[in-house]
Amino acid sequence: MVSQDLHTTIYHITLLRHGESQGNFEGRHQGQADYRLTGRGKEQIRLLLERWVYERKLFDLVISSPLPRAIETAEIIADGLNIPLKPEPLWMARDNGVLARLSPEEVQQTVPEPVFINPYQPVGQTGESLWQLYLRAGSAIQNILDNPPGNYLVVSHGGILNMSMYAILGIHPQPKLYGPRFRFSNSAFATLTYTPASHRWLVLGVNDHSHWDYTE
Amino acid sequence: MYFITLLRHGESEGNSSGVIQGQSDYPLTQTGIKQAKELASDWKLNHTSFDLIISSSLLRASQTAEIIADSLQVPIEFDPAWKERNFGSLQGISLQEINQDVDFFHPYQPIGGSGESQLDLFIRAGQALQNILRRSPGSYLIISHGGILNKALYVIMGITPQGHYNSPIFHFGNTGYAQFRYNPDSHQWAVLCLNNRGFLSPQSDHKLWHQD
Repeated sequence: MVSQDLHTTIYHITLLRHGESQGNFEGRHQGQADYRLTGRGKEQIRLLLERWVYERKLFDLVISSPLPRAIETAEIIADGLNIPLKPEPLWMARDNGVLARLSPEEVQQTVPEPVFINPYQPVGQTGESLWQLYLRAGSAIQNILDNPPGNYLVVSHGGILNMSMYAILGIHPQPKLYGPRFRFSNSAFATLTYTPASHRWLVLGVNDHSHWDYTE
Repeated sequence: MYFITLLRHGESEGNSSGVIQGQSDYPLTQTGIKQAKELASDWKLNHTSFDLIISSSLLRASQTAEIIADSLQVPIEFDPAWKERNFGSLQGISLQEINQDVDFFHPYQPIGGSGESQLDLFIRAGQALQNILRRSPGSYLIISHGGILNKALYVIMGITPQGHYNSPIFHFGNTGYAQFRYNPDSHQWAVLCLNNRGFLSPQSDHKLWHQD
């Protein structure tokens, strides 16, 4: 059984993906382009906030990607729960090079599809490779663990959240689309704890969005 | 395409009294039965169904399986490959008694003298999973136990047992489930959710921290 006094020796980490953005709504590759939340996206986060208020969820700090779709998400939660918010560029979405702002059709028409993608290869010609993204995710996790134990909420993006799961679980980036893909729906979150004294990661849940019903 | 749901059994008598169960049989508690019924009615409401249920033959899993199979009208097969880890002499011992610092153990070391090592369990999970993927593509519900389900996740994600307590733990609450989609043409695993328990009523949502 975990008792309350263990709180100070354990990191509680919640990894949240932003709510639906205009880029999501239009089905575009976003990367580091500036897209804001849609009305639906804001509603998703408002419902998440309501849920966390009901569950008496407490965070010591919200750490957010500085991109508008993440910061807007983070502000709704930070204001609602009255917690400080710190923008952290390490949690930005993947730089996807020339793919930014393109629809899948536009990508097909303008960007030649590589025959094979190795993990060191830049995405969209000039973007970050999967390894670069993985290394950045590792730095972002290290950056949290350089803080004292506490309860941290990270607001970020699907691609880099996947690589942070890899860094936590000990999975390497793999070529092409091999390697598991953790789904983070808009406004969905993963919950983890880390005990530094025994280097123990516990995954409490992934893609929790019970505040928002996605009919798939 | 394969759609695979890995479900942990409902609360058992062993869970509620806090003992290591392993391959010993403990029936579901009233709460455990309620959890399984709540899950079954949630799936029914959302038109979730399965082509086949494959369940561990241990009582706490088979009782959970029968509740869901009856409600959704899905056939069950029992497969001992999905049984919980053999914990050797630790079976029946209370979690508090063994919750003490232990010497380092490597991943090949049998637990409780005669039980399965981490690697034994990993290999068994790999075989159990491969057995599913040799069936035709479809939607499968596996009803099993926290320990071996953790190793099934390792197999899916490509994580090897690290020995001692150095590898990640995936928490499965009672009737918590994980869902995956597998595309054999591209060998792509999508992790759709882990430890989903959003369907439980507050009375059934016991936060139990032990795994087996």
